[in-house]
Amino acid sequence: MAEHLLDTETINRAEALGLHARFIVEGYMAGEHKSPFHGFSIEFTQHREYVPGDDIRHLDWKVLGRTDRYYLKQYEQETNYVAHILLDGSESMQYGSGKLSKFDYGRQMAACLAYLILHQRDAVSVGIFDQRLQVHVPRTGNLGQIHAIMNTLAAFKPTQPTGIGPVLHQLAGQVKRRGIIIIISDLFDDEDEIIRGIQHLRFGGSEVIVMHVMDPFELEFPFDGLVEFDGLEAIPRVMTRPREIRNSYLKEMNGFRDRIRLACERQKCHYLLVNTAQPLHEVLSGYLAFRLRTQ
Amino acid sequence: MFLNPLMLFGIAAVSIPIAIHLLNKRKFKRVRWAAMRFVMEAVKRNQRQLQIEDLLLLALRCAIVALLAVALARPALQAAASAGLFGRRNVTTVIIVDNSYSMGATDGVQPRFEQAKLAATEIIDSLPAGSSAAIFLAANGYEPVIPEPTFDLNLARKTIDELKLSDRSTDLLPSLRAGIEMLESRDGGELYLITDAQQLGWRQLEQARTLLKDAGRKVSTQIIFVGSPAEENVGISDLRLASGLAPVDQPLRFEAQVTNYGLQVASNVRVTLRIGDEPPSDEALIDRIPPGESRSVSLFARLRRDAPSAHHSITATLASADALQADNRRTLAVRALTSVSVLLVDGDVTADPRNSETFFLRHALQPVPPAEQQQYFIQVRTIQPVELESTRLDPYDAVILANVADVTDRTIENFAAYLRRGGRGIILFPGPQTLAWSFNDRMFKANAMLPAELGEPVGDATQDQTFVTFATDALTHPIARLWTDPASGSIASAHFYRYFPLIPDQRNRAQLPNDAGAAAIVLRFNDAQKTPAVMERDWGFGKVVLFASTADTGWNDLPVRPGLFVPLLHRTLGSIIQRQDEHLNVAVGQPFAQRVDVDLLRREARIRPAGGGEHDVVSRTIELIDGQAILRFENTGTAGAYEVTLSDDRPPMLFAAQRDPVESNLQPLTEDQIRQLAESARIVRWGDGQEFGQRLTTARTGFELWMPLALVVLLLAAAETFVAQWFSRSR
Repeated sequence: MAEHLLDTETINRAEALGLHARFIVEGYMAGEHKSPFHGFSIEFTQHREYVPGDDIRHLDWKVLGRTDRYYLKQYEQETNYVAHILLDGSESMQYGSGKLSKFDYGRQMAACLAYLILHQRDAVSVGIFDQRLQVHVPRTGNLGQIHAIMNTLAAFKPTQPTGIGPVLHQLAGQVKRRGIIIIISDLFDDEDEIIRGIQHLRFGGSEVIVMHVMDPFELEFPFDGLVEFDGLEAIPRVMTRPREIRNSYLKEMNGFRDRIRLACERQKCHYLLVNTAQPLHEVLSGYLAFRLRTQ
Repeated sequence: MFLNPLMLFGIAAVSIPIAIHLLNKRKFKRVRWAAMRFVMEAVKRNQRQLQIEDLLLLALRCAIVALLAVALARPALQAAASAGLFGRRNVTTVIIVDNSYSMGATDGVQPRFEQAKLAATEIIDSLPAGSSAAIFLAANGYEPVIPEPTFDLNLARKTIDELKLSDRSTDLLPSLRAGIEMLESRDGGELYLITDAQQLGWRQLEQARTLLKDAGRKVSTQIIFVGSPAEENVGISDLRLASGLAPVDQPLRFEAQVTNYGLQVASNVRVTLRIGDEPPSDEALIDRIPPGESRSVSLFARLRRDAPSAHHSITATLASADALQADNRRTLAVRALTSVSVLLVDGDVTADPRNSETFFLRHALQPVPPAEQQQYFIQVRTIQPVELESTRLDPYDAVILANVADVTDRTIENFAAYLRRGGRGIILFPGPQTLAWSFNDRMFKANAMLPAELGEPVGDATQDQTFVTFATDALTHPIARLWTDPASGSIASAHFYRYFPLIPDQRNRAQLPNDAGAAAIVLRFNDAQKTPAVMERDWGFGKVVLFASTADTGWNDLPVRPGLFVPLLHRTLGSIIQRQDEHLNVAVGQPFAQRVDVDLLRREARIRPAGGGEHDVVSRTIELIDGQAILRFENTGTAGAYEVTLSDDRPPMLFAAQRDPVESNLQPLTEDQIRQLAESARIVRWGDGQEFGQRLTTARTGFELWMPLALVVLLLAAAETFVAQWFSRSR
């Protein structure tokens, strides 16, 4: 992981991502004076090991003096919510008809949201999952941690199949306080499992926001000619003439989206269909504006 | 089956859509795809239908290609023997055009023969390139105008254009046989027979059918019937000199027979007779001829002594506007006699000339008052048997032996030489003095000069109760034919009390001397055995006539019946004298042969054909045949008088070609007969609707299917576009 982080390209991409995220959020915040995420109070809760990039202000010098180890003091933020950003890092997220894959889009979104939340002095934790939680940046309220988050996001390579349900269940067990759980995923998994996971989270009192990231091609299925679909996540290949099955496909796809959306509505979750063709700042500002209006 | 079978290889192009189909399956985009569930679901729901549609579309495209290939191969419904690997094969054809005179019949617009020529031209026009055609004319026998198939079809067209109608009758079998033999020797081809549907031409229908059927595998035959059925036709079926002899300056009776071949009664038929180009000398009106019947009329003419030639053409003409004009005239060639000399040999000379054996003969030969006898054209000299041996016979046209007991060997030699010179004859009346055994031995058994053997005399001449007469039936011999007409009186009026039964010669040709011809019965008695009463035989170039009874009233009363005796004697004399002229009238198509003086040998004779002008005159060399100087001329296809000039210092002579009257019967083949013919040949009727040339091509190739096939291909192509569009719609 470390060597990945040292990889100049990764760093550059992370920088770019960061700048991009910053631009998006600042652009948004320039017009807004009220953070959409409330709560500001710091209470020490635990130590954690220093990782490069951490603000050395929070180094526990006492611990350093006693044990010669770098530990940071961590504080529990006295906010109303802790935002858990769960980014789907399964293989299916690798698909992208344009320059950006869903995962690229998703991690930009995650980075932006993380920056935004941290900028609001709210706490955020970022996790990337496939069948299980693969990478997790623990809860932090320090804006300085944004680099660590971005590096983590940049370094991740989706390779495994999806298993959203178990991850949600696992998370529901871990989240002690009510918070906001933002799921960024294409949700290509067993619908019932996903819905049950969301139910579980809701049961714990968390607010769940589902950012359903879809590529425009997945939404419109605009292929022509003879196409062999090579399934990500080890699904066998299928050869067909997509134009001729387009309606069937769209019916299936829309049915799936509708079921998820209805389930979310039933659970009083926000469901947002994110088309990767849309500029990210539009999507985010649109949603945040909607959220402000409905609070 | 296919006119262009090479194109069938095009069916292999069916592989093209299949290959495209398979290649298309290999030509695809590969997409790494996340939303597989939905794709798989959609595919699962539609895959079967998609596959079926795929196959359907593929089948449709294959069908289009295959049908296109088949259409290009030009399939035809009928097995076309003319189909080659590279399209229509050239064909060898024989075109037989009927030029018998019934083809001159017209429907008022166009004679059948003109239609036949048009049909023949269209056949030539319809031939594929590289074809060859032979052209035969068919009548009775055939005339190969282009005997070997020529590739020069322009020559064939020109030849067809110049074809001429003949006056022959029809018998199509020989021409069919010749055409089929030619085509079979060339490995098959097409035979076209263009004829009117006249029944007469198919007298040997059964043989023709067998011939066509046997040839069917190699030779495809089409029979083209031209002309519409002609209902009415009246024609002159016969013209004869009824007088027996044709002396100059005497009224001669000619008999013209007019036959109604139509289906309705012909009325007021006018017949005229004229000599050469002179105005008509006589005419007669026949008020009524029922269908299918004949009427004879007597017409008189007088041959002029001062005519430039002794030969005259006598033409009977019918004033009738029927369909067939050719048979409305008939021409007879007659040689006028200025004098006839007869030598009578009287075997029973008595003081009273009235009791002499030749008394009645003399008067019958010169049936005029004594004052006129010197001027009469028949001159008679009577001698006794003893003088016979020393008398020069040459000046006499006939020698009559009456009741002569016997003749010497020398006389018989004289007779033989006399008969061989030709145009002469001997008439023998036996009598009580006749030594039958001597005549039988020396003139019958030895040299077959007599036509019959004399049997033992029968009957009793001393009484007049028991007698026989001439039989009135079977009067077919030219001498006896006169009495078929009741107007000539009854031949049975004479009574015969005693006679020599004539025992006809039973020897066959090989047992007879060369000079002896076949013996013929002229008249019979009406006794139980129908014994011959008069017989005749050609001997050398002359004739010998044998009577069974006497020339005087010794054994019969014939001589005292001048109404019978005079014509019988004159006709017998006529038949002898006309023996040298009988070839003057030939049937159309029969060669004319005339014995001429030996000094004309190797000279050229000029012959002007009937109806021809000076530019039509042809030459023939007089040749030596069997020791005789003979002028022979074969091209007698046209009816009428032919003028023959043997040398400039001699008056021209004439002969006439006469049509076979049976051809006048225009009765068409029955539907049943046509059906029978159609079993072994294709029957086409000229001018019933569809264009003839087109029909020929169709017959050669069968009905072509490329057009409907092309239409189907077009429809399929349109369907393919629609179906492909429909199938590729989104589901």
